[in-house]
Amino acid sequence: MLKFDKISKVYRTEDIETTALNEISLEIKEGEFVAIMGPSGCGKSSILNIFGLLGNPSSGKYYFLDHEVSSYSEKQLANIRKSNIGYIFQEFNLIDELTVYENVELALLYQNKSKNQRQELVKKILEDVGILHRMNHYPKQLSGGQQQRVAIARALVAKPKLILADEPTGNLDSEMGQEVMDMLKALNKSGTTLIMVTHSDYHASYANRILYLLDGKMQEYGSQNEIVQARKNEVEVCS
Amino acid sequence: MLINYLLIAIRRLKADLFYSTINILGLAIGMAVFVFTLLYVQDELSFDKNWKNSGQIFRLETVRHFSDKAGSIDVDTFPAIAPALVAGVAEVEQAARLVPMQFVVKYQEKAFYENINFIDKSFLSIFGFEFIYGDYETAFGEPFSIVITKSMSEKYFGDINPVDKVLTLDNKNFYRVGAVIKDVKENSHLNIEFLANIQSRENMYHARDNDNWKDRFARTYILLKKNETIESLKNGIEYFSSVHIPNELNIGFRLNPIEDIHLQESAGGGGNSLIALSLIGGLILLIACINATNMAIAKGVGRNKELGVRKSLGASRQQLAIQFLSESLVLSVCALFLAIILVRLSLGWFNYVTDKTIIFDFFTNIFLIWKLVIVTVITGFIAGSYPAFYLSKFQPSEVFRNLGKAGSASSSVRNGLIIVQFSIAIVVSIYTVFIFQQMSFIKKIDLGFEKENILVLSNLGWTEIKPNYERLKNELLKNPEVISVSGSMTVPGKEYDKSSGFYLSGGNREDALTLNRLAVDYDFFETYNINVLAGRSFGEDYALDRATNKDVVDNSIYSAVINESAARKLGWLNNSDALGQLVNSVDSHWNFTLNIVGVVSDFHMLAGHGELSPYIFIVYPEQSQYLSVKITGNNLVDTLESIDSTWSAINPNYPIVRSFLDTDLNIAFSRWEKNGQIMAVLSIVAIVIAMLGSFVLSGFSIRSQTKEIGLRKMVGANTIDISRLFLWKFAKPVLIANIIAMPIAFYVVIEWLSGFPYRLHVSSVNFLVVSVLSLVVCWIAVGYHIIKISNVSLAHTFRNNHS
Repeated sequence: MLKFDKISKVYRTEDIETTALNEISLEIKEGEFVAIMGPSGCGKSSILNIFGLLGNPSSGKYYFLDHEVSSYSEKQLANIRKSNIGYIFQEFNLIDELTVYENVELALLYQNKSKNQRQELVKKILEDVGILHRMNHYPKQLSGGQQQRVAIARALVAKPKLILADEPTGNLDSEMGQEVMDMLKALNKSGTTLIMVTHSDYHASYANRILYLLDGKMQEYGSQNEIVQARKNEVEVCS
Repeated sequence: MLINYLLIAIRRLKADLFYSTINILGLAIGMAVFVFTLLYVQDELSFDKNWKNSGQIFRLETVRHFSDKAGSIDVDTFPAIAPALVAGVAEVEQAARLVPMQFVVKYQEKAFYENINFIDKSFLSIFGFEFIYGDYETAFGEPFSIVITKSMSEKYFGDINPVDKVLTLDNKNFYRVGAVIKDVKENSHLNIEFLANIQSRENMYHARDNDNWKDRFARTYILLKKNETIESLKNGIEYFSSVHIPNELNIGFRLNPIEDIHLQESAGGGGNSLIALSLIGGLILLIACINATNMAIAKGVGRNKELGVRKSLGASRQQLAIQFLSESLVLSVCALFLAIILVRLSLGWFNYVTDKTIIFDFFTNIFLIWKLVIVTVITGFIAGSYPAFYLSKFQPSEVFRNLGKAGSASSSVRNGLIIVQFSIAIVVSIYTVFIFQQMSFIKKIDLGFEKENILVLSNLGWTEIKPNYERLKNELLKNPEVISVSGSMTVPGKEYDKSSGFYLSGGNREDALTLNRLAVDYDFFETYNINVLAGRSFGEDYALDRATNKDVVDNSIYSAVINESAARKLGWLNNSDALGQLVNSVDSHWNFTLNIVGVVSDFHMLAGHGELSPYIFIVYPEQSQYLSVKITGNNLVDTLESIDSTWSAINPNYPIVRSFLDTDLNIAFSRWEKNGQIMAVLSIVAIVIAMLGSFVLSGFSIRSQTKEIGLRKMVGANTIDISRLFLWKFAKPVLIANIIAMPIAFYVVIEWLSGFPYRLHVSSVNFLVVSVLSLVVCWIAVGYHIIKISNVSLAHTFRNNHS
């Protein structure tokens, strides 16, 4: 479904050049649940942005659904995003001026769905995530967990093939976090491809594959133990 | 989707009501100014465009050539020309004369001075007047027929049909009303209330206008044939002129489209002043748009999250740009409603200062709605275009990374826009200061004559009044409060152009120099207290001082007095050199030799707003149009009553028309004073809008630097340090604006002043004062926020950090 071929991402300021991703090659198949881990500043968000077509790589080729998209125009990328990708953010990123219903509906507005279709789909998804009774509330009137449910509903309402979650439980207490993870797991089981950035070993354990990013390079581990071992090595190197 | 955009725009406005109100208010003021500009320009451009054949009608004007003054235009032509043109120039469909005259019009007990225009009947069809009573055929059914407008019909006859009623002109000429026409719209150069057949004028004065190739007193209007071009008409008239007009007259003709006449004759240069006004109106709207733009950019920094979300959901750059433009449009629509209220509230003042009767009514002017819609859309687009394209261009990943942070690019753009705003406000303010100072300067100019306690009586040239001139003068002089009385062709303050070429006797006619002719009475210089610099003034003791009834060639040599400018122009360095010199006129006016007996000091006939002109004076009271009565000023009420009763006793059928000279001169200044008022309002508006912008932007800017302020306080900065930091920060763009605005303002002021023969010294103090004021205005605008932020607690600054 997704394929990186020597993807690099370099950030440049006036004096400094920082390589966030260094010639990474990988492939993610349809229906996978992939967790991306790594220390702060290792490039997790950069890789997620490239996966989600929110940012361009500095070099390399990126195949999305077998199309090489790194040279696509902004308009073409927007078209792919709106029909294929759903995003869940740590900060929820709900628009404060819109109600719960309107925030979720926003994803369908860019797909030119009719009002009736939108109404049907939005209410269905809000019911699925258990927030329908709050549909006329504004984000600031909701708890963190409720806000994240709305964000998940927004990500799912257009039935995307790929869900990208950037630390979806980062701002939630453990009970809420658990609820969200169960929701994501159920989604994956229904066939949706999921890529999640997380700091939590426990939440990463929900994934089929764990990718570990360090200094712009990617390591793939099959189990929690392998990650723990890798971290020990990392500490030894640093000391 | 659009509903979603509008929804979010309206909720954003409500969420930040205070700043939204300021933003809308600024935009509304800018739009109101622009709407006024639009109404004014539209009215000015609409003159004489509503006639039946507007684009095909031309006024034939006389072009007079002098050796020292080429191409002087006179709107009057020979009365014989119009009929000759119809017969002799193929391109002319119709040609008609208009001779304006004044009469006392009387019906039963109602009697008023009125302008009567004597016309050829074809004038009615050329312009296509619309008849209410009667028609084209009945209009001039009898030789002494008159056509009146609806207003005049109501004035004299009330609501009845006045056709066949009889009006008396000057108590002796009886005119039957032949037709009533609709009132002529105010946006026409024609001042028409009464139209009489030109044949009746000939009958009244036993004139033979069709053969008169000597006197120019008729306006001539030509209707061009449908399929002919203006070029071929010009050629036809040129040929016609070469056949009919003797070369020695040194005159030619020009065709003036009637649609252009108003702008040419407008004070202040017509078209140029329209461009200048449009420019200022547009610039003020731009200042207001800049406020909205700046605020959208400032607020946009806090909207990165929304932008990122929308992009991640598939919004294209175009869709985001449309969203920002829609929001801006919502703002401009809100501003439009407020602007409409502002326009309605200030329309009375606007009509007063512009001398117009503009109506702001959607029902009578359907196009007004469209114009307002266009203004609103353009305003919305200008205000929203930069944020739309700037904020929509970022990649979503960058947007999320920079949540809540202001980019250095957006900050420099905002500063750039503040510089533009203040530059415009500073230029307009300096210009306004100079307008007021120049007006004050002109008012204080020594006019060279005494203007106090001079009462001017008009209509002395009236056929029935003229014979009573001497009697009236003598009766008035019997009043002990009357010091002197003098007739003259004109009085100071009136537009006057009766110039002729004069040359030294025995010299070359071709070398004639243009002087203004002014026929006066013996006491003219004494009445106005004009100094005699050399020789003598006129005196009744000198037989040849009075050029009596000499319209024909006369071999006598009559006395003349010239002013200093005329002496210099004729080549005499010392005033005494002019004495005893003989001069002659090149045209039919004053067709006798003049002996210069005196030189008087220059004085301002146009009361300061015209150049000092060369004048030649003779005593010829029969040509007097005005009588200047110098009074002591004591027992004023009694004196005026006495003058009124003296007039009524001598001229019982003609109401007295009198005014004080200094009042008239003030009226002449009022046009300039009104222009000054308009500019003052425009500059205040520009400053207020710029100030509102600074107030709002500094609020946003300071809010976004709360953390920085907290850190500075933590390391020891006190309130004064913080204040100094921000005062300097906001002073910088204003100082740069000053550097940009000063040379522009200097150029504008110099250009404007160059139109005045007498102008004040361009003082750098004015520039300095405006410069300091611009800083003060800026600091007042930002001071509120600085005081507020300087006094908040450290804990609060970190808790509410926006950066």
